[in-house]
Amino acid sequence: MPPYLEVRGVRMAFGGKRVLESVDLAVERGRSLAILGPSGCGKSTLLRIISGLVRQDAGEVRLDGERIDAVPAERRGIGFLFQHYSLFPHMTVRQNIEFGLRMRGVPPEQRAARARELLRLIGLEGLADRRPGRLSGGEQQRVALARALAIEPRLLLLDEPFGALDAKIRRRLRRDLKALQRRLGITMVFVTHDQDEAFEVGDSIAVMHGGRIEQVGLPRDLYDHPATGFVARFVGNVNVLEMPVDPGEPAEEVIIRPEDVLVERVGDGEGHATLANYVFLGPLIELSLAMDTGDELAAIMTKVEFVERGLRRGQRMRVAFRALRTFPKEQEPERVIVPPRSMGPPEMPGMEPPLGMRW
Amino acid sequence: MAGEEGGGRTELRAMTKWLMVSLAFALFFVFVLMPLTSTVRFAFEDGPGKFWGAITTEDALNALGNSMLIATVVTLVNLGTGILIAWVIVRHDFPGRSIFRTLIELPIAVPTAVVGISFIMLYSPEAFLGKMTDSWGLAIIPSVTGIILAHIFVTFPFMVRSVSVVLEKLDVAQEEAAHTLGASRRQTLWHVTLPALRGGVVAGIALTFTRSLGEFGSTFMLAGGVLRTGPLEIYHLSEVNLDYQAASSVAILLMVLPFVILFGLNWAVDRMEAN
Repeated sequence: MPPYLEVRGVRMAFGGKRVLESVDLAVERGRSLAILGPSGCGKSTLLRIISGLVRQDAGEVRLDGERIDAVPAERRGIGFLFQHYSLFPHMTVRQNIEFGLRMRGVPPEQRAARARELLRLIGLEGLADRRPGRLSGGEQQRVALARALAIEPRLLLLDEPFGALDAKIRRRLRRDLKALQRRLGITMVFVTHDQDEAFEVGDSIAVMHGGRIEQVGLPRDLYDHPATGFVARFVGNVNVLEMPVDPGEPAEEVIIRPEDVLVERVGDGEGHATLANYVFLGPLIELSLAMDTGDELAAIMTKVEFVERGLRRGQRMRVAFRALRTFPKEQEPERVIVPPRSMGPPEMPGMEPPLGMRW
Repeated sequence: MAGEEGGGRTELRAMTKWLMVSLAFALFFVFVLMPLTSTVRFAFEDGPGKFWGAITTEDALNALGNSMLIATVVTLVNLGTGILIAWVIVRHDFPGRSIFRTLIELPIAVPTAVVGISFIMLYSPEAFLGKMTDSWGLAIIPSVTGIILAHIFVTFPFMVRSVSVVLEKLDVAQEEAAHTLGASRRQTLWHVTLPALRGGVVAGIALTFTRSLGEFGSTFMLAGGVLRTGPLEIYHLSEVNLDYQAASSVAILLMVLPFVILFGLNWAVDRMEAN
């Protein structure tokens, strides 16, 4: 069976500038896909093409097996949430929610009943007769969600919907949204540049960069098996070093996750680095190491480990990497160096392996 | 002590504030309110009966009727052209757009006497357009039509400006939201865009209407001593008849009328919105 939403070979250029380069995407019915990428990567344009607000230069969009490229936005039945809510300021909350049904000629009693139901769903029954201008940002976006759901959309698209809200409200709203999406079985495409948001809201995640989808997968896949250097750098925290992987080879760009940096305290004049600083992150501690090569390296360990080792600022450290990745410039399959557990840590080029390292 | 010093400074600041506020009021009174109050005093000097008599003479009613007619037509014409032009200069990009935008403001800089002479030069029986219209049996000067044309010139930028300011701030995403909710282009224009422009349109109507009601210079030149409007009637009463009480009475009516119309308009819009 073909996927519920299918985007195939979609290209788009604005004034000669290519924004999308042959994008393919698929979402199963009732699932949510988060499109994660930095600003300007084309993710919003892709969303607007799916909604019909923008017409693509080439490629096709299929919904439920049917091509919808030629269908105008107003007849696609696709809900859309905008970053700045875009409620109609001259209408009350209730009128905003009823708008889509009114445009379809649904009789007033039915409209009112549906609006009541949705107001209950978003928990804003008391604000039905307010104007949007008198609501908080979070409340406005909830009303916008109700307004989009009122038409029982075949698909819900969200363009950085919580981007204009402060962190606490954002976290709460995305939790509510995810719960609602699961409960109502809504098929959803969610655009964000915030990794936490993508991980929480998306059943799967598409990482976008420079008008291309770089990788689609579960959060865990993206983190543990990034397909490209961009994904490796964009998802999670990484150290990027310029060095040869094996002694004698030319220097390459090497990506190392902070948790894959292993350190051990050594005496003065020994080791590869100095502990420049550390930051408490609660149960974890982030170490900042000044390498003798001049690079800076972030490492992470539990508070317990940190205390057991009696680490202090200015101490000399021996460093090894549990795993590191390199990505050739032309985005070929990665070269991953992950030693089997029984083996010792990999040698850092030009350095002696740290001794007594616990695995 | 430091605390007392701080207190003294606060006191000084409060005093300065009151001084500034009083000054603002005083300036407003001397330059704006005082001239108007003297008119009110003159109009009611001999009691409300005289006032009523002055504003209900045949001449006065005729003049005010003309003014209302002219202002209404001018406003309706500008309502259409103003919204159209505002839409074009805000929503469409074309070469020379910014120059066009600037030129639209031109009438504000043109003295009304210049407007008067320009229209005479264009529509008088000897002039090119005047010859043409006369041959159709349609004399523009002197006529209400001529005055309406001159007033459209004078008020031209008001509607364009007040609507384009609102249109510029209007979030296009609102219209996009309407589309995704199933509204056609026409439904979106009618239910989303135009209501959002309401404030600008009301402001434009108010500016255009009051400006037309008060326009003297071009009106005077195009009326040819035959036609009367409100301002011309005031001039006639005071400068020809030397009846200052009557002139003041008509003046007050001319002053109050825009407010009445404005409140009426706002009320009507609110009612419309409630439904």
